[in-house]
Amino acid sequence: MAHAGGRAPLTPFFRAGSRDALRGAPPGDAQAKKPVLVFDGVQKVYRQPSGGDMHVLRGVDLVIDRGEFVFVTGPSGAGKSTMLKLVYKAETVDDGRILFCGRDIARLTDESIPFLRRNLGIVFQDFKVVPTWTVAENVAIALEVLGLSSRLIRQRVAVALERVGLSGRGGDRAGVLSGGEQQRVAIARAIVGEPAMVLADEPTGNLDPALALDVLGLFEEIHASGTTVLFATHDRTLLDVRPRRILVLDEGRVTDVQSGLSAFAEPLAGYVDGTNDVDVEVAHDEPVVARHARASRAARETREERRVRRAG
Amino acid sequence: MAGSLERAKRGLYAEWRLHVLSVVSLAVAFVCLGAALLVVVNLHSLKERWGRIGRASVYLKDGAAPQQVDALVAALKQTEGVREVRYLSPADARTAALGGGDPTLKALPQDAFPASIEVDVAPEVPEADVAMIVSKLGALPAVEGVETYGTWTERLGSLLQGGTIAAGALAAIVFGAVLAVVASTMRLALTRRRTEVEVLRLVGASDGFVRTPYVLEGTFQGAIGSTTAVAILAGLFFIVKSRADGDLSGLLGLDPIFLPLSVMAALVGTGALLGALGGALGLRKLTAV
Repeated sequence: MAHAGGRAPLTPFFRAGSRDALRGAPPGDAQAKKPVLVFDGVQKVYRQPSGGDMHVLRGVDLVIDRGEFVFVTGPSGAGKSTMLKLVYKAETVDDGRILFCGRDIARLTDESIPFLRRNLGIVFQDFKVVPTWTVAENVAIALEVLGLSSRLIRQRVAVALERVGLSGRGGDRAGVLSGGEQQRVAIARAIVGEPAMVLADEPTGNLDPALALDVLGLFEEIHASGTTVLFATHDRTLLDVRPRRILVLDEGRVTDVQSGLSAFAEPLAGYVDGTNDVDVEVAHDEPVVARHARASRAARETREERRVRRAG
Repeated sequence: MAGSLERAKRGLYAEWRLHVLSVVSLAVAFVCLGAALLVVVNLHSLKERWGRIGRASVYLKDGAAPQQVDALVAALKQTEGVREVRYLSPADARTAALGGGDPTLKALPQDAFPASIEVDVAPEVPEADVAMIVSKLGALPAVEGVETYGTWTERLGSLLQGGTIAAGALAAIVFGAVLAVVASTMRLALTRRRTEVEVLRLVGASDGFVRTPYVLEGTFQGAIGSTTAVAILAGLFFIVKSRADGDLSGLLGLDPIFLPLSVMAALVGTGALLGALGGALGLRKLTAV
C-alpha cells in the first residue's frame, strides 16, 4: 500500500502528525525540549532460581528530551540492557511508569507492541541481521512491516545504505559481510523507518576499537540529523570521545551526569572495566576527529604497554 | 500476501536442503498413509461385492409338480429386485457339484442332490426385503427349504469390517505420525531461522506478518510431500497390478482399484493443511521476543 508523500503509515501508537513532531529539532527550537522518554520510579526485579530477588532497577527516574544523545553505562549486569528492553517492551516494569512520547508503555496491550517498535530503531551487540538475506532485504524489512510500496522501500533503503556507507552493497548476502559491515546494516535497518528514537544496546561490543569509533561516528551523524539516541555501552573509550550526557547505572540506581568530560570523571571512577580501562586525557579544544584517533590508539594499547609508558 | 509469498519463497530457497529433506520425510509418511487408505478402499469394494446376501437356493420337495415349479419360477421372475431365476434339476445339481468328478463323491446316491431354483437378487435390494422374500418362499407347499448363505456372508462381512477397522486405525496412526513429522521439521527449520523471527519482532512485525510466510512454507511442504507420495504410490500400485492382475482378480473376485480422485485430492489437501498446522504450531514457541 503506497502512502502519499512517502510517509510511513501512521500507527495507532501515534496520532496523525505526531511522527514528524517526534523527529529532532534544531538546537534552540522550543520543540527540542519536549521529553521523548520518561522513567518515573521504574523498578525491575528478577526472581532468581534460588528464590531470592535481584533488583535490577530501583526506582529509576529520568527524562530524555527529543533530539538528545544519551549514553547509558555501567558494569556488566548493571541493567543497561534491561533498561532498553523495558523501552521496547521485551520486559515489563514491576513498578513505576515509562512514558514514550507521552504514552505509558506498561499499559500497552500485546497487540500494540508492534506499533511501539515501529517507532523505535534497535541496534544490538550481535547485529541481529539475517545472514541468508541480502543487505537490502535486511534493511527493507523494517519498511515492509509498515506496508509501504516496493518502489518507496527501494528508494528509502538506498538512502539508508548510503548514510551508513554501504551504498552499492544492497545485493550482497549479509552473511558474507564483516562484523563492522553487518553492524552498519543493522544501523541502516534501525534508521530507515525514521524512528522517534534509536536504542543501541552495546552496538560496539563485538567490534575492534577502531570500528567501534566508526560506528559511534555513525550514531553521531544519525543524532545530528535530529534523531534521539540512547546508547548503552560499558566502553569508556566511547564515553571519552565527546562530551555527552551519561547515565551511570550501578546497583539498580542511575546517576545522571550532564555533558562535560571533566564532570563525569567522578561518577565513573567507581566503575572499572578491565578490558576498556584506557587512559585518555582530553583537551576540550581538541578537534573531534583527532580525539577519535587518539582514543582509538589508546584502546588498542594493552595494559602492559600502558604500565610501561606510565613508568617511562 | 504478496510480501508473505515472497518471504516464503526466500525461506524455501535459503533452506532448500532442509526443505527437500522435509518433503522426503513427508512423502514417506504419506506413502504409508496412502497405502493404508488403499487397503481401506479395496476392502470396502470387497465388502460391497461379497459382504451381503445376494443369492438364495430354493430347494424343492421331491413330489413337487412341474406346474408348481413353473408357477414359482414365473412368480419369482416378476418379483421386484430379483435379477435372475434358474431352475436346477437333480441331475444338473449333481453335475454342477461334482464337476470333473471325485470318484468318492460320484458314489453319492441320486437323491443326494434335490431339484432347486437358484435366485440372484440385485445388490441394491435391502437385506430386509430379501429376508421377506425368503420367508414367503419357505411357506410355499412345493418348497422344502431356502438356503441364503447368510451365515457365510455374515462371517465374510464381519471379517471385512474388521479389516476395514484395522486399516482405519493404521491410517489414524500414520496420520498422527505425519503431523509429528511436519511439526518437527517446521520446528527445526524455524530454530535455524530464529534470528529472522527475532528481527521481525523487533522491527514491529505483527503476529500475522511473522507467521504467514512460515505457514505458507509448511503448506507448500505438506502439499508437495503428499503429491509426491500419491505419485510414488500410484507407480507402485500399477507395477504390482500389471504383474499380478489375473491372480489378484481371481483371488478377490474383483479388480483392485487405486485411490479415487476425491481421496487423492483429500490426501494432498490434508498434506497442505497439516503442513500449515505444523508451521503454525512450530512457530508458537519462537515468538516470545
